[in-house]
Amino acid sequence: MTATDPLLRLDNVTRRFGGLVAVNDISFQIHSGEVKGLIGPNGAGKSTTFDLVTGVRPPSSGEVYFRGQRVTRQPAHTRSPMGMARTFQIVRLFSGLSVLENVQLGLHPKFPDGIVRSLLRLGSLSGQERASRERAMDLLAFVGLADRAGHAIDQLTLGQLRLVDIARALAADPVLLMLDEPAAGLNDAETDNLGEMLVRLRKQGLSMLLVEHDIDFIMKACDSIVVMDHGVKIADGTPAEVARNPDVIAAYFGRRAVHAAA
Amino acid sequence: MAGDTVPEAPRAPTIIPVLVILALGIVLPFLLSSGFHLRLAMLVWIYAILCMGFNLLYGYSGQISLGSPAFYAIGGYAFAMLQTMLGMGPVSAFVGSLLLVAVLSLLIGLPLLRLRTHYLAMATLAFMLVQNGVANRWINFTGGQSGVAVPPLEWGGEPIGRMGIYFVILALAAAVFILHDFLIRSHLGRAMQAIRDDETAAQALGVKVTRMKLAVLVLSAVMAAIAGVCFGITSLRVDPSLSEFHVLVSLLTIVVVGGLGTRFGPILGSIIVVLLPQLLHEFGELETVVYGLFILLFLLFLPHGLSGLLERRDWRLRRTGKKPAPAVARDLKEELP
Amino acid sequence: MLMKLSYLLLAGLTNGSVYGLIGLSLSVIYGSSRVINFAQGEFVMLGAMSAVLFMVTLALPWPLAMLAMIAVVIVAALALDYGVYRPLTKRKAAPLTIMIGTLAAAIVVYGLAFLLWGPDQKFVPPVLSLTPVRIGFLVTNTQQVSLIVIFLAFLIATWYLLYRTRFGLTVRATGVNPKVALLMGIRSERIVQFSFIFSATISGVAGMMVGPLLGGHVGMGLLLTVKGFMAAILGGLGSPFAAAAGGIAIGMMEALMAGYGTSLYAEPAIFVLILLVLIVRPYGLLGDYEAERR
Repeated sequence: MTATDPLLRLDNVTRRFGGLVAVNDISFQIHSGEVKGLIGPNGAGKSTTFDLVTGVRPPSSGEVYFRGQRVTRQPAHTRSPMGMARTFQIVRLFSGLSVLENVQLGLHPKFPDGIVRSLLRLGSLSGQERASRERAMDLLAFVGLADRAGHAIDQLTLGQLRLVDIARALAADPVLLMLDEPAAGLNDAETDNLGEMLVRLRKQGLSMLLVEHDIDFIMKACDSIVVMDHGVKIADGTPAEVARNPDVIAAYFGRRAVHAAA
Repeated sequence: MAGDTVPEAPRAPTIIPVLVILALGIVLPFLLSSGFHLRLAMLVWIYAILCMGFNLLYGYSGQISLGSPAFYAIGGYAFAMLQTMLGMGPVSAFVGSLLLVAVLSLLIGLPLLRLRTHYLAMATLAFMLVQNGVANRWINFTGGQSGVAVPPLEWGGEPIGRMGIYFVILALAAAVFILHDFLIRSHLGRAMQAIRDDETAAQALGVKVTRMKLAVLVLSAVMAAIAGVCFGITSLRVDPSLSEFHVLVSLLTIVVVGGLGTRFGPILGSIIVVLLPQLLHEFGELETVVYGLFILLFLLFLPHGLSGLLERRDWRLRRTGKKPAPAVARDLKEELP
Repeated sequence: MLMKLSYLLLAGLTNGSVYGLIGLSLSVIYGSSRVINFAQGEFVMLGAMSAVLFMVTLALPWPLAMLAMIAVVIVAALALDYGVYRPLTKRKAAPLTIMIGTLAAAIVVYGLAFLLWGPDQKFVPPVLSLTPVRIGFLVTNTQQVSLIVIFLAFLIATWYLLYRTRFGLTVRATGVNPKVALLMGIRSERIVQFSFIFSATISGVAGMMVGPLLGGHVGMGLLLTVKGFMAAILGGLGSPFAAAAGGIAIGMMEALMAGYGTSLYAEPAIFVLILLVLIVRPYGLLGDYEAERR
């Protein structure tokens, strides 16, 4: 990978479900340090695009490159060790584990793989476990939930759960963080809190792909925005450029959002 | 001190209780007066071995396989037949039977682990019924109803006595118990629980879900086979009753009574399930009814089994309270030794 | 040649009707509650053994005996609902935990039946006649024929109830999503209770009808539960009709294997077949579409 290569590149990616084309010939790139927004009306294909990038399902055609490597058909579990982490739109934390353990799971790829290999490295495991616990505590402190470490998942509010989800994703030291509608269902205060945290992460140089419904949120948080409609990319540019784009206005924004952006 | 910033992690408690239980296991035979009681003690360990495998697979990884009794039986049969038919020694027959079961479980697991919940349960139940059917019917090979004799273990040309057999079983149980404990206290146990709770999310975090499920299935099958071998060396005979339905019922009772997905559940449950029928004799004809009610009451009132009473983790304690009260709970914990 | 085949097919159809009725019952309960009822075969056993109690011991005429039998299985179904299903769902138990609960209930029912009827095989009196009847070259009896008729009747009744009534719509909605159904004003507890009662009645009637052909004993429930399961899994748990078809398929395979191969290996061979089917089609032959979407 050379310095000019993008961190993530989608080349003419298409996904069909039976006769339905959910994602149609999408291409875009995310450069190192960039925060990209992915927006579009309901059914535009955002979530499917997200799934194709994270490896939940493979595209029907086209290619996905991450850090210069082709990952198009690599299964989902290969992303985390490569430096791509994700959160979930409907929070998917592990209900049988404590908050701290949930975050520690984000560090799983750093542990020895498999039963035999773990037994062979028995000596270093307890040190590694302690280190992972400390790292997980730091991350919980970063998202402001250090005092919840020992709690069960079902005792947290939705806003807190999202923060745990982000802390868990950060545990793997990703270079690219994929956020699937992180503000969905949050109240204003929680959304503001989340926004501030994303700003802090951006300052640390983390690249992000943000799928979001909340236009104000995405306008503030992103360097550039891809707009999808009916599975097709209709715009790609800075928030200001996108907001002026007539296709986007027609498809999605309406008058109010144009005023907001201007 | 790390303890100030890092809460005591539930995943890294000490191994001391395991060693205490094993020490009790060493002392136990010297306290028992009769051969019958010693046999009950052996049965407790045998069921504990069998159920630890099931606990890892179902309790921790969430994959309900009802095939354990089949692997239990195959382990016992293979141990016997490798000796009587191929003339192997007991040690190589032991290793051979475990390898055989490992390969078999791998072959079965590859296609079956795609199935979920009830479908997986029924497919593995079908496997158990096939195994049992063959054991009952292929009389020339398996001896049918009467089964196969297991050559008694010998040491220096002399058969090993009851006490010796007990310690052989205890040694095997200790190995399984320590491995079981290591797995659930390590990052692997955490990954298994993650698979149980949400496969997709676990995958996204870099857990190799398919490989992990398969590894746990093979491991649990091998543990079942170890239990089968232990049964063989105590009873000197293996027959189709090893994979009959009542074994499955005992297995399920043990995990329910002991506590599903807990460290000591299999051992506690095994103690109860082995001793319970002795106590239930008092009920005479009502025995079966009481047995069923007993399981139901546990399911209803002790959903985490006996272990749930003993090893409430701090976060589970808080879960039972209506409101989270972290500060108070932490203070309380600091006061405890 | 042809005669042997048609005999076997008739026998397969008869046993298949019983398996199909149990599969159908299991699927009805699964459809509304996502629970596999391990006590389903016990309802069949109660049906057969109640026939002994009411028709032999108490010498009631068969219509009265059947009503009394239905009362018995409904009481059992309500006990299962109030004693196992509701308390466990209230405690947010996983479906598989509830399955273990129904297994415990099956043990209790078996234990109670054992107290009442003992371990011996009992002669179950026929509701209709066991006297041979000739249909063409086939020799059968009205009891056997009525079993197949009852199978078809329940199949149609279930279809009508689920797909042609408002009530059926609510039943199906509850199965798909109990929470949403609750928001729509459907009380899922009621629906589940109904499905327990309905399926217990079906299984009880099946037991009363098949008792004279199989003979009745208190331990007969377990194997019938397992066969009913295999029927439901083979066809597809999601649809009562797929489950019923699975039952017929198992009955036929059993009869044909016993007739042309060896009856010794008929049972294991069927379980192998079911394993193979599941490997190729993880959600059954006709598919559990609801599960597949997840």
